[in-house]
Amino acid sequence: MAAAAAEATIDGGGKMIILISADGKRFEVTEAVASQSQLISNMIEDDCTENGVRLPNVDGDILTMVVDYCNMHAGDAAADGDTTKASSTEELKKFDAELVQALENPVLFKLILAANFLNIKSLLDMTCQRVADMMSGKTPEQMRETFSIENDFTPEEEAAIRQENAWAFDD
Amino acid sequence: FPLSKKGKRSPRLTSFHGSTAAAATATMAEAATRGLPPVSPGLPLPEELVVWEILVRLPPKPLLRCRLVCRAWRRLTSTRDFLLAHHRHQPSLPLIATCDYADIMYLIDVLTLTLGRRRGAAARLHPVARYASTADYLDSSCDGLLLISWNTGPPQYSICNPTTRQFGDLPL
Repeated sequence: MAAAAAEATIDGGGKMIILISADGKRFEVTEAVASQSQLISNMIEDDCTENGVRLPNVDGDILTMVVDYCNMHAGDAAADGDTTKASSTEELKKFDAELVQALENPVLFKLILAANFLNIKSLLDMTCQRVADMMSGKTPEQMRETFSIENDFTPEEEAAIRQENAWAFDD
Repeated sequence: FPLSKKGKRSPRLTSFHGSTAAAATATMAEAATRGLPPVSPGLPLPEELVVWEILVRLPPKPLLRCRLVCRAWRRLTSTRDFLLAHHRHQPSLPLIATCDYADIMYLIDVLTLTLGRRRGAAARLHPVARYASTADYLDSSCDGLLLISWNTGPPQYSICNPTTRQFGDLPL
């Protein structure tokens, strides 16, 4: 049962916990990996992870990415002297870049929501930075499309705003 | 020549962010216990996340452009809190001020360190301000604003915001 698995340990130290996605997929991770999520870290402190952690907001495919990210970054949080376990900085950068660059908007947005819900600051920073980078070359019309926003300015207002900082709109 | 830094962080600003971060954590913890995603209907991401996590990271030009997207974005990106948060995300870059005596120009450039690191220094120099006079002088900079003075005749000062390309004389 989940409870038994959750109590299992590996390497004689790291306690394992089970994460359960919205669609019922189960992920077994060490406490060190899972506690990069501030939400889960708080739950571990409060001793309420024994029956597995249900994450009703996070789909299995998104949770797969989150768990991969946390596994990869588990070394970050490790003690400074422990360089053997921590992935090299170069490796991490490559992994991070590949993770976000391959994602299309709907999936990237879901990953942002998951990072926000689980409160994993580094993942939230990275995914939001990716969206900001993508927005940088976009026109206001394209930005509206990206975020499903209706233009509620009158043509006169729009012209006035363009006038205010005309240099920002010429390409 | 004066070498100054743009975007120094004041202690007051740091503590301001500390408190909003704590508040955000509390909100997320509440959302987690209720098990509800904080998403508004019809939007791919909640407005709060878009504004405070994404728009604050935009460079100045796209930020000015995003103010034309809708009324809500324009309003939210005009608040003092937003401008402070945005400022905090901007890189601190060295300013380089030089006089070009041949063309009688005073030049203020910013050296970008984060982008195109592999390019030569010349390619990373971005003009911030150009004055058709060698009597101008960059006195100092603070939070992205430049204080410029004229060093001939009675002292005159003006403040320049290179991002919005606005400037004004200081009434002294």
